Amino acid sequence: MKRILVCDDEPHIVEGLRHLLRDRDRLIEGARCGKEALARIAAACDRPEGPPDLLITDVMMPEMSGLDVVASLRSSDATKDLPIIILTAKGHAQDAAMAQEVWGATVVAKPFDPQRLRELVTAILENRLCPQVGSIS
Amino acid sequence: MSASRLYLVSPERVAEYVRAGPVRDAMAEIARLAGAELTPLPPHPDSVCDAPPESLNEIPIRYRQELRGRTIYRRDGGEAVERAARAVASLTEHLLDREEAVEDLAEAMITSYEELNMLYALLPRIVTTVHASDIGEAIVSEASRTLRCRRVSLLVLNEERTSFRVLASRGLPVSVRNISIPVRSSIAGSVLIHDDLLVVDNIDARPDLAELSVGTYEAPAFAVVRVPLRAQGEPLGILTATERQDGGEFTARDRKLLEGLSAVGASALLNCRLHAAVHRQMMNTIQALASAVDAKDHYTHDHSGRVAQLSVATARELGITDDATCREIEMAGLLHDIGKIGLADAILSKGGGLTAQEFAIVRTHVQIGASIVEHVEGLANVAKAILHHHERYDGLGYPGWLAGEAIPLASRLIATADAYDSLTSDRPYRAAVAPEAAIEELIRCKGTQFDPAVVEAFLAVVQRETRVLEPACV
Repeated sequence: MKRILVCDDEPHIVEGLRHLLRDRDRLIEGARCGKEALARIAAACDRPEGPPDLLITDVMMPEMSGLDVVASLRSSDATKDLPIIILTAKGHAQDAAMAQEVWGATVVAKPFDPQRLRELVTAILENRLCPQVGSIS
Repeated sequence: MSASRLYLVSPERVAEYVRAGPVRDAMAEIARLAGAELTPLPPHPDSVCDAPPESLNEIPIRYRQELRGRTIYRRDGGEAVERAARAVASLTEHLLDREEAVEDLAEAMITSYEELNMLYALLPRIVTTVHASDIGEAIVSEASRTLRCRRVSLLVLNEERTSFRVLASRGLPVSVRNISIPVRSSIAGSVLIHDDLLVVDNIDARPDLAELSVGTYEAPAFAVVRVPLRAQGEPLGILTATERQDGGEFTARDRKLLEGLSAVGASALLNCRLHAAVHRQMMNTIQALASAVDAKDHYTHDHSGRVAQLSVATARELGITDDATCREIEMAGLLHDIGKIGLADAILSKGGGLTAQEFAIVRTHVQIGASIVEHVEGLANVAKAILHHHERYDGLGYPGWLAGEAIPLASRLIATADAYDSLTSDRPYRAAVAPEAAIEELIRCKGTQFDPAVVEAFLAVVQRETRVLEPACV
């Protein structure tokens, strides 16, 4: 069973992604803010199952941005290699470059092509993804 | 007392003057003062007069050692008539001289005019190119046209100055277009050594040359003219024209035209060599800079060189044939990370563990690189390509958040080649990815990170190169 955590402050986006990515052997959970996502991951790390197999997070969220979530995850040994997809609008391109080139997250521009996102998620879960491309990484 | 007669058998060229006009009046006056009457006769009169030949005296009119006409008078006319006959003959000789001079001048003017005309036609074609072959083509076609020769060739010396090769030709058989002609034992070589124009109307009359001639290439069946090409004292080659369409021999005008052509051609060729040397030097400098960056960034050996080579190959795959554009892409590929020279080693060697502040610094390498290259004249496009090589096709890159075609093509090419080469090379924090996996990654990022058309062309290049590297299965 693969576990995906979707983090967005808009509940309908979480629901939409849950619907889009639904599959027989997938468990898709939602988090409404960055803090909740970190708390859920930390809790999972303490349990035998460990961290989820993939985090999909929005960037623009109140209190804690998606990038802060990624930065926090990368500073912990348990989650430094956790696959992450960041959904962002073009206005946040500068931060997206950081997420991709430094933190090895996969950056997807909004609005995204649902079919492509589904393929990307499958590729990540099947461990078919290359290390991220970038000048530093 | 009836006047004695003084006959003037006028030379062909000046017959007009002698029949009427001020010259004739002056001659008639000279005769009249001597008590004689001037009778001009056409160049080849049937008969001069009724008097028996033994009673007549003649003064020859010569010009350039040739008998052109004569004055005739009766011996019994006395000394005065004889002096008048000499004066008229001398005047006619001067007249001839002037005529010839005018004609020579006219010929010279026509030649100069043709020369000017030819240069006007030629110059725009050779000053706009830096390719020796284009210059050769222009010169050969112009020589063939103005000298009306079916066969023209332009030979250039190799660097060691030991042999010639055919740079451009008209009417040469294919079999001799690629031959090498030794300087030491060829007619062309002897022309170069003597540094003089050679005109041969019949090779059989010149056994010394026949002995030197290199097979069918150099043995002319017809009149041939060869002229050495020299610029600033440096020998460059030989221009040869032969097989005149009218089968005639070469005139002074032809030689002059050919010399003019060779002078223009030589300076254009020298120019082109200097240009190539400057370009080579610039590429060497750029190579050195690129290696400095590669060394600093802990990239594997020659990352920049491979990015440049792959980018240019991809550009060609996309149908870009313009040399200037390809050169810009190559330079941009070599220099794409030059801005990292300005970054602290501590940051570069950190790899994946950068803070947001450190990454903000790393990102500036595109602006630093562009501003370094911007200062070099003529590299504005290269600077632009460097500035945008971290843009993403979907607009999520930096520094301009440009998307799609708004990103310079060179930048899109470099972004793809850079990603591929990074993935397939070892990094301190991860091992190299197999080419197949890197290709899959490029395909996955087609349209988001990379230009789809560039990725398609890039894959064609990589697949072809892999095929070349791996021996074909039997």
